[in-house]
This record gives sequence, structure tokens and C-alpha cells, in this order.
Amino acid sequence: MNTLMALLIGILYASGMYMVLRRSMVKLIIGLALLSHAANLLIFTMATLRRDRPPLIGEGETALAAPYADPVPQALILTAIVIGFAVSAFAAIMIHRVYQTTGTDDLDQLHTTDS
Amino acid sequence: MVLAVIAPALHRVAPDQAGRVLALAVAALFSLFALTPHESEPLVYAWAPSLDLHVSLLFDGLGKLMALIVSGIGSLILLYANGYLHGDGRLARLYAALLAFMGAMLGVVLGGNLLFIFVCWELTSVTSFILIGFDHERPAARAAALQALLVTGAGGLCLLAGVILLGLAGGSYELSELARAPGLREHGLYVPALLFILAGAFTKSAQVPFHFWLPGAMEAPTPISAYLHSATMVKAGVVLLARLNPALGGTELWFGMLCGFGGATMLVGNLGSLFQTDLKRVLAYSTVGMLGTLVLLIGIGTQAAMAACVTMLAAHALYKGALFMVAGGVDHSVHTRDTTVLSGLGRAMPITWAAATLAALSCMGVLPLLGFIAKEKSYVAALGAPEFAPWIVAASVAANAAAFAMAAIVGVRPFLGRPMEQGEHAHEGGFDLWLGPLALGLCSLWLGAAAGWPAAGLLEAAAGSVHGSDFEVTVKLWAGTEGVYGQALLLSGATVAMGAVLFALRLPLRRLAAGLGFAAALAPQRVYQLMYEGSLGAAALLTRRVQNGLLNSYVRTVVLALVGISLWSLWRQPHLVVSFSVGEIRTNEIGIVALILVSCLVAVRSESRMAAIVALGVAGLGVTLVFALFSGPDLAMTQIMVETLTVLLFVLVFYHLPQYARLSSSYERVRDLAVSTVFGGLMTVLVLAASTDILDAPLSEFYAQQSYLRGHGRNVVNVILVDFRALDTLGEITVLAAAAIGVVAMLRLKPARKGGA
Repeated sequence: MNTLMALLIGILYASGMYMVLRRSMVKLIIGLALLSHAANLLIFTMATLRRDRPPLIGEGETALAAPYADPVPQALILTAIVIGFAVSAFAAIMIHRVYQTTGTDDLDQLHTTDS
Repeated sequence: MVLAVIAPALHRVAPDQAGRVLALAVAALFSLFALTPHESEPLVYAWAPSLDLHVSLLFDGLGKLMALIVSGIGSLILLYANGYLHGDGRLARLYAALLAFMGAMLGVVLGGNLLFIFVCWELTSVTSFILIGFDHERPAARAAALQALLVTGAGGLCLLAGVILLGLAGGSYELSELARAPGLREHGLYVPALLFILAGAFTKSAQVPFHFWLPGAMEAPTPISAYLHSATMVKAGVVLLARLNPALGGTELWFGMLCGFGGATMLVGNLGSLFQTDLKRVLAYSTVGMLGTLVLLIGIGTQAAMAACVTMLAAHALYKGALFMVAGGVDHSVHTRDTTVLSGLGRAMPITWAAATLAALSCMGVLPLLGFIAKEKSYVAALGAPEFAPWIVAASVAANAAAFAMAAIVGVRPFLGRPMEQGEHAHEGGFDLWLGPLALGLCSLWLGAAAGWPAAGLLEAAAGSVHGSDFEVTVKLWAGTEGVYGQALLLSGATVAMGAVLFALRLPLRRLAAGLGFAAALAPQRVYQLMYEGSLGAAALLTRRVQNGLLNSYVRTVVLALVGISLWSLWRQPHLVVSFSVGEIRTNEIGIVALILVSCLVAVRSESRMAAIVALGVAGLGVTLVFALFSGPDLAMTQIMVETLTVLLFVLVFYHLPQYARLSSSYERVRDLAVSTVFGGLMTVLVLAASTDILDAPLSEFYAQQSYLRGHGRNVVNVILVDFRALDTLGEITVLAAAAIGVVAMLRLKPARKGGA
């Protein structure tokens, strides 16, 4: 499964990067979203994939019984998902605004600060 | 001894005072220098002891001679400036700059530590930049100042490199220790150190091929030219070479470099002076020639050469300073410096005439002035050169003959003959204007006629400190006709005859030169121009290429650099294992991965924005399922909510944006595809390589054990976020809030009116 995930992560990164390199601002945002999926999965895979062992302490127990899925990367990813959403939302509104002001969504048209 | 330390403090003497007061102060400094006996051991002050840096002052013969020249001529120049720029509001600035320059120059000539000398050296470059560009409202003056700064500044960098190499080779930056350092000349760093130092000294002292900045620097007002270019700044290179002679001199390379460049400069400068018509430019070229002579003499390196060098140094400072001031006086009086126009001023300006005659005679090397002694000594030195003596003698005679003609053009011709047309208003300048040149001219006469008394002992000491060992120097007006002295006298005669011929032929010569395009000798000037414009152009080009404002190229550069660095470090990993263990895979998992892949490709390939957004949403759903399957229930819940919101938001926003257009060319697409494929491939390899290492996770262990006991929660991830790492979560919330504020601000502000910005 690790190998499969590695391939998936690679393809997600490649697609995201390709979209970021496009000139359309819409594609840029989609690329960012893909990159953030890739990064989340990367962290998740790094921490050893484990089936059906969520980091939940059972009733009547005081500690996690090994083996368990590592809770630390999960906490990191949780934060990353939320921040990623904030970034996406902000970027989306911003390009909307840029389009309103400049009338173009072509990034190469925006290479100067004078308009 | 403390005097040189006082000198920099003199800058603070407020510029509002009259030049005469300042001149007196500097004159007092001069007499203090004169009364202080010279000694060969340096005086050391701690400067930055932690860096092993010391200010050591070397008040030996050479130091004293130069200090006397700098302060003596300096005081006369201050006086002269007072008269020359009388009533000019910028006079205060001039005084301040001149005094700052003087302090720096004293540091150069008295410094005993190479690093200290270097600092003062750079200070003279900077202050001379201010001085040359004194008329900062004229573009020509600014260009000349910049040129001087760039040339001498580049030389300064070379010098620094040379000084450091020398310090490494010799184990010390103290001149006195370097001179005693054994095996320095055989050291591997000797040659590079020498070459760098020579580059620095040659640029400063305007040796061919760096001589072009000196005539350009004549844009400055005359007091400045007189000071910088007769007595001081240009001599800094010569002084440095003289200082280093005991440590570095005596090798084939030293002899060849100094004699070669010095000789060439001597010829170019002196002959070049004949083709100029502006008084100050004539003098500037002749100064270039004189500097060449001095370097040549140091290169010869015999005792006679050192004696000639220091005598020449003193004689030149005296007569060239006087001639510059005379030129300024003439300019001040009749408002032209064109030697083809000037004539018959002698009647109107008798005192200036007298001063000019004295200086010119000294420059010509006529009995009984100091210049004569200096010239005789230089001939004796040339005759005694260890190699190439005939060549050096021939070059010296030619150069001195040209100098003779030059002196006649500058110091004699303007005052004789019929009164010139614009000459009705010719008048003697004030006391301030004629005192300087007259005093210097009289000095030349006195030192010559009195056979160097009372300065002979000083010259001997100076020659000794240049040579590195003491020896006897006889300063005699009439050395007799025996042996080399007879030959020298003969050469002097030849010089005078040739000089007279050159003077008589100056006009045809000038026409000939114009026909031949003598300006070819100025080629280094053009090289400088090309380099200057070239570097500006290259900088602009680089900025356009690198800072092109295109996001695509920025990202591409960053990604490629990242990939390159990562691959390089992976390559160096000796035990890199990339495992392709497939392990256990379930069908539903393959399905989910396939789902993500397909939707991801659809998001990329789709021609429709809505389809792309939906595909993105499906990919997010796939990621959610991965989290859910592999024990991340919280992640799955968060992801699905965020994904839903994102899709909704994107649909709403993108609805207002234009349809996809085909913006990139096929080439760009292929190129970007290649970049992203390489990037993705790298990430895959990294994941595979990293997952072979088992992470040791004491942190996770801690949370697993303590979540319930300390955090009282059964969901470990939640406990980490809201309890153990609560502050981080607070930060996260703050980021969200900031983003929300930004979004609201952007939505509520009205768009700027079209055509506004």
C-alpha cells in the first residue's frame, strides 16, 4: 500500500505543480488545492498506515493499546486541512478581486505593478 | 608622534573658520613634524586588540618627508583656496573635505600597519571623490569623480586582496616585521600578493594603463587639483611601493613590473603633456609622467635610485604644486587656460611670473634648483641600473626633455611675448593666491642652491627607509664631472637641448599628433567606458531576466532548484534504499486510489471550470476515504466538511471569472509538464525512501500514555490539539480569523474606479 500511496502522492504533486505553472488564476487555485492534498497524504503516509486502529482510548482503559495509528501526524494534518481551507478561500476571493480590478485572469499580464 | 592622531581630529575644526586660520593650524602641524626627529621603530597603539589589529605609526625618514610635504603644501593650499574661491559659499565644504583628505593621507604615509594603511587608502579614495566632484552641478565633474572613484576603488580592492595574501605569507601586517620576515620572496603567495598590490598602487598612482583618470580629474577647482595631484593622493601608490620595497623588492618580477610600467608611464605622460593645450591638462599628463619616473626608480632599487626617488619626490611636489597654483592664478586672472592663447602676462602679474619661472626652472632641471639635483640623481640611478640600463637612460632622457618643453609651455610662455587680447584685465591675484606658488618656488631654489640644507639629512633617512638599510646620500649641487656624474651632466645637456627643440616644434608636433590620431593613447579610457556601460547593461539585462514579473518562471526556478538540491543530496546518501514492497492491498483501497487519480487528472485536463471544481471535490472525497480507512476518523470528518465548503466557495467565486482560454503554447505546456513530472517523481522517491526508516516516536508514546491521565480525553488527537498544544491551535484560529477579515475586506471594498491608478 505504501508504494501505491507514494505513486499517488507523486502524481498529486505533479498535477498540482503543473496547474500552478499555468497562466490562469483559476488553475493556480486548483493547483494549490491539489498540492495541499498531496502534502496531507504525504504526512499521513510517513506515519505508517494502519488499518482500524484509531488513536482512541477505549472505555475502561487509561492509555492507548499498541499498535495504534500515530496521533501526532494526525494532529498536524488536522491543522493543515483547516489552514489550507483558509488559504484557498482567501486566494479565491483575492483572484476574484484582482479580476474585478484588472479585467484579466492571465497571470502573465500581471507582471508589472503599474497599470 | 601623537600629531598624526591629532590630524584626523582636525577635521572637526569647524569649517566656518577662515582658510587662513586653518592654514596656520596646518602650518603649525608642519613645524611640529619638522621639529620631531624621525626614528625607524614604529609606535604602536591598540586599535582592535581582539582582532590583533594595531595602529602603528612609522615616523621614519620617508614618513617624515611625506608628512612634511602633505602638511606643508596642505597649509599653502588652504590659504590659496581662500583666495581662489573667495566668497564662494561652498568654501566651508571645501575646507572640510580637504582637511579630511589630509588626515587620511597622513595616515597612509605614516601608517606602519598594512591594514591601517589600507583603511586610510580607501579614505583618500572617498575624500578625493568628494573633492574631484566638488562642482557637483556639472555633469563632467561628476563623471570624472566617478571615474576616479571606480578606478581607484577597484585598485583598492586589489590592494586589500594583496595585503591579505601578503599578511598570510609573511605572518604579520606590520611593515617592520614583514621586512624582516625570512623567505617571503620564495613564498608561494609572493607572486599573487605582489601582483594584487601592484594593481592597487598602479591605479592609485595613475600608471599606464590606468593613467586616464588623472587628467579627467582636472575637472576639480584648481586648489584641489594642485593638492591631490601634485603632492599627495597620486603619490600614495608610490609611497606604498616605497614602503614595501624592503619587504618585497629585489626580485626579477618586482624589477620587471615596476620598470616596465613605470617607464611606459613616464614616456606616455611626459610626451602626452606636449599634445595638450589646457594648462591643467598639460600639468596632469606631466604628473602622470613623473609618477612613472618615481615607480621606475623604485623598481631599479639601487641605493642611487632610492636617493634619486626621494629627491625627485620632494622636488616634484614643490614645483608641480607651484605650477598648478600658477595655472589657477592665471585662470583666475584672465579666465582662460588655453596655452595657445596665453601670452605676455608677465607685466601684469610679476609675482606669479617669478613663482612660475622658479617652478618651471626646477621642473626643467636647471642649475641651481632642486629639480636639477633630482634629475642628476635620476640619471646616475638610470646609468647604474642592473639591467637594461641603456634603455632606461634613453627613456629618461626623452621623458625629461619632454618635461623641459612642458615646463616652458606652462611656466614661461604665458608670461612672455606680446600681451594677449583678453589681457587688459589681467591683474595680480591677492596675497593668498601668489604666496603659495612663490613659497614653493623659493623652496625649490633654496633647497637646490643650499645643496639640500637643512633637508639633506632627511632625504638621506628617507632614502634609507625606502631601501631598507641606511646609507650615505650626498646632496650636492655640483657633483663634479667625474665618472657617472660626468655622464649624467652630459645627459642633462642633451636633455636641455632636446627639450628646447621640442618646445620650438610643439605646434607642428601637435598638428602631426592630431593627424596621426594620437588619441589612440587614450584607448584605456574607451575600455573603461565600455566596461562601465557594459556592467550597467548587464545589470539591467540580469534584472529583466531574473525579475521578469512572471509567476511561472519564479515557481519553475524554485522547483528546479529544490529538485536539483534534493537529488544531489539523495545521490550522496550511501545507503539509500527504495523499497517497492507492495504489501497487503485491499480492493476497496485500490478503488479509492484510482478514484483520486482519475478525478485529479480530470481536474487538470478539463476544459470546463465547473468540471474541474467537481473533480477536485471528488479527489478531496477520495482523500477523506483514505483517512477514514487508515484510522484517522477526525481527519476524515474535517476533510469532508472543508471539502464541501471549498467546492461551494469555488463554484460561487469562479462563476464570475472568465472561461478557460488557451493561454500557453504547446512548448510551454510540455516544459511545465516535464518540470512537474520531475517534481512528482522526486516526491515519490522521497516517500519510498523515507518509509523504509522506522520512525522512533517517543512523542507519540507520551501522548498515548498521558492523554487520558492528564488530558482527561479519550480522543488522543483532540487532546493534543485542545490541551497539550492548545496555544498552537489558538494560533491556527488566529490565522483563520485573519483570513476571514481579509475576505470580508476584499468583498466589501468597492473596486477602484477604472482609469484611476
